[in-house]
Order: sequence, then structure tokens, then C-alpha cells
Amino acid sequence: MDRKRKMRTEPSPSQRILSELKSQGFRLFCTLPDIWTTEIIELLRGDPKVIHVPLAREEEGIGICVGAQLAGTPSAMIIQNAGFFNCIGTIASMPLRYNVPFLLLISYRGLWGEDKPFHVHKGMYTEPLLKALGLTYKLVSTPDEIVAAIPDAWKLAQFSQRPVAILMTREALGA
Amino acid sequence: MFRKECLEILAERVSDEIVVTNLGYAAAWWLKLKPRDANFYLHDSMGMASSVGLGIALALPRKKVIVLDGDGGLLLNLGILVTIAEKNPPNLVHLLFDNRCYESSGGQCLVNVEKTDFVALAKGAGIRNALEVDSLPLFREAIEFALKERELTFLSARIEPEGTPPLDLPLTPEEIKFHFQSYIRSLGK
Repeated sequence: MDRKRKMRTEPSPSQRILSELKSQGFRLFCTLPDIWTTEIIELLRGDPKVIHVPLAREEEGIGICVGAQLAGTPSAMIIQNAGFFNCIGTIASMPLRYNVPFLLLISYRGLWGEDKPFHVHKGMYTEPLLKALGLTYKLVSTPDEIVAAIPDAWKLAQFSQRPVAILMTREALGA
Repeated sequence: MFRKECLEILAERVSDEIVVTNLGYAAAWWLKLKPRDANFYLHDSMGMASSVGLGIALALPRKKVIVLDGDGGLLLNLGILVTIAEKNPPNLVHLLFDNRCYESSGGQCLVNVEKTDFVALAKGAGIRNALEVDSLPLFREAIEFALKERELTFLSARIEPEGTPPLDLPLTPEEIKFHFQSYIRSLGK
């Protein structure tokens, strides 16, 4: 099978992730791009079946997801770990105080193999910050693992009435 | 004019709209004037009322959502004006109480107190229907119009600080969520 044909017939990791999120009932997506999440955000932008909210700053998205979720619309954020850093205070004071579940899909820059020096600090502080907030998270390294993690993460978020995070590596996003 | 006077007018006019309040005075006065399940009060998270209101407005496009925001709160989350303008929800009324101080935290002066033009900021973000009122008759007229029309509204009310001690919000986050979700369930969505 040549490469072109393969690309046409097999869904990309971004298409598989979005399709799984939609089949789990997610309808509102707050996003701020990382180069790794370019394709999934483009797919959201062109999808009439979802509410896509491009953010000016990630912290806004915490409030938007809380509001939408309380109004009965399952919600997810797709952001970089630097953007997660921007959300810490609001996560503590809002979804963790009002007990609101939603999904945080975080591209995990600064890990082993990172090609940009300025991402390295993000790799160092992401998991300590998630732990400090008491947020449950899973690190996923392949597209199959992300797709498998989404229903479990959502179930756990609803059971615990708290946000749950999925940390996505470059390989997982196929970027 | 004072925030309480504006909220009294709003309380007379509100029927089935959802109201999301900023923390502090806005939450406490609104609870006193119009306690109902369709309210969502912020306990903390200063600046997030507009974001929560946007999320609700997008999730429930047939319900009118009114956000009671403050000038200090809006400055903490100024980018939301751009995000609101991008989505342009016709069912959202962003009501700003502009008293040029952080009243709920002790009345300290707002940053850039003389020069900030919130209506210009909203318009600059792309919110076409942005206006300021500085008297109760104008506030009444503007809010009646905003509740009737299906158009995104940014309404800034220039108010005087109340000068009264801060009020507590006698509700826990659990109670606020319980009441609000009871209301949402009653909509049968």
C-alpha cells in the first residue's frame, strides 16, 4: 500500500481521538493550540456537530467547561502543559470546589526526546502540579492508548466529580 | 447610582433567565434580592463569571444568560471579551458593574483608574452591541432591551461604591451546584 492511499483510508490519530471523544458524548471543546494539536483543532474548527471555543488564554476555558458541564454539555479542554500552568488557581477554586467533572487533554512538552530547549521546564513541573492539585492523570504514548484512555478518564471524572487529565506525548498525537 | 439599585431593577425584570454572579457584593446582593435555582454564584475565582456564563450560554442557546461582572474581575480575565466576541452568543448579556475599585476586597483603587474605557475594550474585541449607562432610567431601558433582543450585549453600568461592609455569601459551593443543577434538570434537557 503506498503512503498516499494509507493516509486516505486510515484515520489519523487526531481523527481517532476526536471520534472517540464524540462517541463518549463530548460536545464542547475549549482549545489553545500547540504545534502537536494543530490537526485536532483544525478538525474541531470544521465540525458542525461540536461547539468549538478557541481560547485567548487557557484559564478562561476552566470557567467555560464548568459552565457548559453544569448546563448538561460534556466538555473537554485541549491545551499544552504551559497552558495547564495558567489554569492552576482556577482549577483549585472552581471545579475542585464545586465538584465539576471534565476532561483535560494536555500535550506534554519537555519530556525525554524534546527538540526545543524552552519546553524543558514544562516537562519538569507538569506532573508535580497535577499531583499538588490531586488530579488523577494518565500519561499516554500511542494513539491506541489515548483512544483507550478517553472512556476510562471520563468515567473516573464523573465518578469522582473532578476533572481528569490525559497527558499526551508527541507519538500519541502522531505529530 | 449604586449596584444594589441596578440589581433591584434587574430583579424585577428577570423571569426565566439564568444569572451567573461574580464573587463578593454581586453574589451576596443578588442572593438577597432574587434567590432562585437558576442562579450560579461564584465563591471565589474572581473574573470567571463571564467564562462560566459563556459556557452556559453555548450549552443552552435557547436560554438567556446574564453575567454580573465587576471591573476588577473583568481585568483579571480581559481576554474573555475576545473569546465571547468570537462565539458571539446572541443569548448572553455581559453586565459590568464599573465602580473603579476592588470594592469586595476593601475598596482599593483599580489599576489605570482614570483612563480605562471598558466599552471601547469590548468594541475593540468585536462586540458590536457594547454600551455604557450612568443613570437608573438608562439602566432600566438598556436592560429591558438586552433581555428582549437576541443579540450579544455588553452593558457597563457606571456605579458608585456602596461604602457598606462586604457581605458574606451564606451558601456552600455544594448548595450552589445542587440548586443550579436542579434547575437545569427541570429544563428537561
